[in-house]
Amino acid sequence: MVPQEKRDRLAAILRECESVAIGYSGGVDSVFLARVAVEVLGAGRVLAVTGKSDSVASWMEDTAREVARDFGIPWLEVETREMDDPRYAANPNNRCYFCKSELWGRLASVARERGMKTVLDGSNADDVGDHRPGAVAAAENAVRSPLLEAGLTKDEIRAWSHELGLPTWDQPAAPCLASRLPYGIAVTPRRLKQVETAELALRALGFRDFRVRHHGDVARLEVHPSEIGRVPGHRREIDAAVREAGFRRVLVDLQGYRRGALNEGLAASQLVQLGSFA
Amino acid sequence: MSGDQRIASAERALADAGVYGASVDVEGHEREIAAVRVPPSEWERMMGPEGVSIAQAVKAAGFRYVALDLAQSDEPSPA
Repeated sequence: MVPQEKRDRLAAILRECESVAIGYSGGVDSVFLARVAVEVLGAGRVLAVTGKSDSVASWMEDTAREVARDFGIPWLEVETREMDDPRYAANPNNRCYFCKSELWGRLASVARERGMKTVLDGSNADDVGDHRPGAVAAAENAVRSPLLEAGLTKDEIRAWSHELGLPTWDQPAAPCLASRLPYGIAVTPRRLKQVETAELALRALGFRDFRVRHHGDVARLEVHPSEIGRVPGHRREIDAAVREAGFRRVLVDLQGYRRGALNEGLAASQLVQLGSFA
Repeated sequence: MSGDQRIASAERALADAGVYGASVDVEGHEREIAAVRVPPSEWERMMGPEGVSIAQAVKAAGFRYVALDLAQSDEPSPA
């Protein structure tokens, strides 16, 4: 149940923004935000913008397009070129900063060209405390986060999305494919394609919440605890499919999928958390 | 601690947890992964809640991640 106070607060924030260009990945949060923005502001004052690059899974792009079409959300796809930035490709622990600088820079340009007053992202109240160097780039580009400002949690966004009939309401979190590469392993189109191919194979086997972590020629699979018990029954298929994607060896992490697992090697001083910077 | 010492500690942790016939080697660009092979009879147990506590015990040997090799013990080694 979503408190009426938060619903009202979100509507008020959106009205304050007047017209909006939304960073729209096809994930739970941005789809929800775009849908509510259309309801509050009208379709003429909303533009959902999806950044297209090798780091975005093709199924996410499909979801973004289909939901926009089905729910009357004005949608635009723009190509982003973070891969051309050697600072991004080197995959430092603040990689997301360089990617988001590119994305929010493009969105800010699109917003200016289209006369949209405010650029929005889909950060929510549960994102506070995560390692989010990309949030620095958002702040530098004056991007607002209405879901976070309204205090909406992920569970509340899912519940409200369900009310609205959005197919994304129970979609697992799906950050970009580069998040599967440990810091220090260079981001290349080939590695991203390996991850995408392996993950598509697991999805075809019915797994929903998992990550294929790319450790050079080794794939380390993190499968959500609710699904990990199915792995032994599909052992041969998984092993074959992931090797087919170009990995020499396939491992399954015994702790299962957990958010931010690749940040486990970072010192506290290396973490950039939402709300921890000016 | 050298890689060899971590392997011995990890295999000891597995034996202490009652997982017999297991072997460990090291993977990852920072040699941060303990790659564990167990007999097929241990699979279900390792993939259940007990696997999490076993992983914690193996991590204490000096690894960031503990992961099970999907190849069976009777299949060729990945080297």
